[in-house]
Amino acid sequence: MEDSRTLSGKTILVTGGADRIGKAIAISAAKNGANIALHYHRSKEEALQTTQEIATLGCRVLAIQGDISDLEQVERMRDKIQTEFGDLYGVVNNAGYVQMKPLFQYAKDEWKKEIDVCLNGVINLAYTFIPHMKEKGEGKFISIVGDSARMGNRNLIISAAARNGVISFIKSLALEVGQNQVQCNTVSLGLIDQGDLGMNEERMKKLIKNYPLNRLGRADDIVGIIDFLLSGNADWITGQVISVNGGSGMIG
Amino acid sequence: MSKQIAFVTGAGRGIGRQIALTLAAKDMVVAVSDLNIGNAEETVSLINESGGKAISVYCDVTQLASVEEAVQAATSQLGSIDILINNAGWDKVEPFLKSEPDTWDRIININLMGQIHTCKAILPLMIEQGYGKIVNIASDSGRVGSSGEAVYSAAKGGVIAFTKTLAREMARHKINVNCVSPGPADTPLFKEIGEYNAGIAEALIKAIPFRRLAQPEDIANAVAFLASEEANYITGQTLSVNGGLQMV
Ligand SMILES: NC(=O)c1ccc[n+]([C@@H]2O[C@H](COP(=O)([O-])OP(=O)(O)OC[C@H]3O[C@@H](n4cnc5c(N)ncnc54)[C@H](O)[C@@H]3O)[C@@H](O)[C@H]2O)c1
Repeated sequence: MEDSRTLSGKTILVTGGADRIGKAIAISAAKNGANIALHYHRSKEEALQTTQEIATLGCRVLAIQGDISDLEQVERMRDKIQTEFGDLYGVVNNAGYVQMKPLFQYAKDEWKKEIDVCLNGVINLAYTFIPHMKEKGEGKFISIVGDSARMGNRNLIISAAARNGVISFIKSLALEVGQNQVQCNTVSLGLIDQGDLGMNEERMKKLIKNYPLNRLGRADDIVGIIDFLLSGNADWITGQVISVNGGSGMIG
Repeated sequence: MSKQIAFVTGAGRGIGRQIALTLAAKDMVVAVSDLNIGNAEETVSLINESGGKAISVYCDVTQLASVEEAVQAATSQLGSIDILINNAGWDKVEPFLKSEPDTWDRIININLMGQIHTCKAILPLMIEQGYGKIVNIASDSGRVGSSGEAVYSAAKGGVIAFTKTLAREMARHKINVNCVSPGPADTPLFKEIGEYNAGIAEALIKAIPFRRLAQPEDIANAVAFLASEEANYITGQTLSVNGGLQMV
């Protein structure tokens, strides 16, 4: 019987895929038939565990280490993926490095690493993986940002700025590679509760007041839009930003 | 779970017809409503031919009474309504200063008041069952403007703002309200506009990064996603489906 799953036989790279949101995305893409290149930076153990979990779904999976802020490492990732799976169909950039504090609590230059991962990381991924997609005349490039990038947030001032840059970068990229049928979009998240926010009940209640759907997000809330954007059903969607945020911000 | 029931306006042709077909293919029962009942019946036969279930209902979205009757007719046959797709729309493209009050009224009544009417009639049903999804068809003209579409873009901008407020008010009832915002799409309406605007299709295609107009399927797929359980945490948002023509 022919495999009719949406991503059957296609290879997807999920960055920061060892656990949490990235893991949920990788598992869902695997269920849709994809081969998974599961990128991690430091979380080796979690990555290996997730890889095993994905392997039980009957698809091919490769854990792949690298610092996306370093172009050479990203190029090495590309070579490994190429050897293992051949051409890459899609990139879901979920990796990020975010510090939570107001600007004047940063030490001098302490913001550079954040910008390096959040913005330059995306540039590196696009620079490395999109030429092949252009050649093939198909591909998907998705990056995840937070709604802070669209609306501002005093405690996320650096990552929000870097990721607003990502939104703009992805729009220009979409214009550049549209003629090659490569779709580039941004998914913007509200706060996702993964059990480690360390907030007391009162603060949590106050926070949830900003969420019309009356709860924070869960990793599972994100996979639907990613599955959709990776599928052929979204082939006419490019350069867009869509928020998945329980209604906590409604822009544009 | 019993099958979900979707009410689609302006489903007699164009994008609306394709939305009805796509939702039916996803195993929903569709109330195909339109001003042109003959066209609606044709959509229903297309759905039946491919093994889906649908009924046709006459509905002029500009008249609240007509909408109420249509909703009554749909629920008496199908039980309830889980999903509302506000697709009926119309435009006449001309410079604002050449346009006349009668045209403004018609544009605002169909595109904006139409969606207000169906929401007024259908939301109480959704509130009662504690579940619902509404997808409103806006237009990129409502996000970024469009020469020759002044009043239409105002109405569609109104649709987007209406969507956001309803999303806030309805969230407590587990009802999601979102917009799909099409770019130029290859439909009978667009062909009509092309008849009195020579060269508009070619000019637009040149400007679209993917170098083609939208097909109704492109729009319907996004509508189907926002109407699905996969989109449960998405509300108050606008998703443009436009081949990259605008990026907001
Ligand atoms: N085609 C495009 O390029 C384009 C671009 C952006 C947005 N849109 C929007 O998409 C939607 C569908 O457009 P389309 O191109 O398929 O148009 P269409 O004219 O082909 O179809 C519209 C349908 O709405 C019905 N309708 C009109 N007035 C009605 C009324 N008062 N009550 C009930 N039904 C009524 C018509 O009978 C028709 O079946 C509209 O809301 C339109 O504004 C279209």
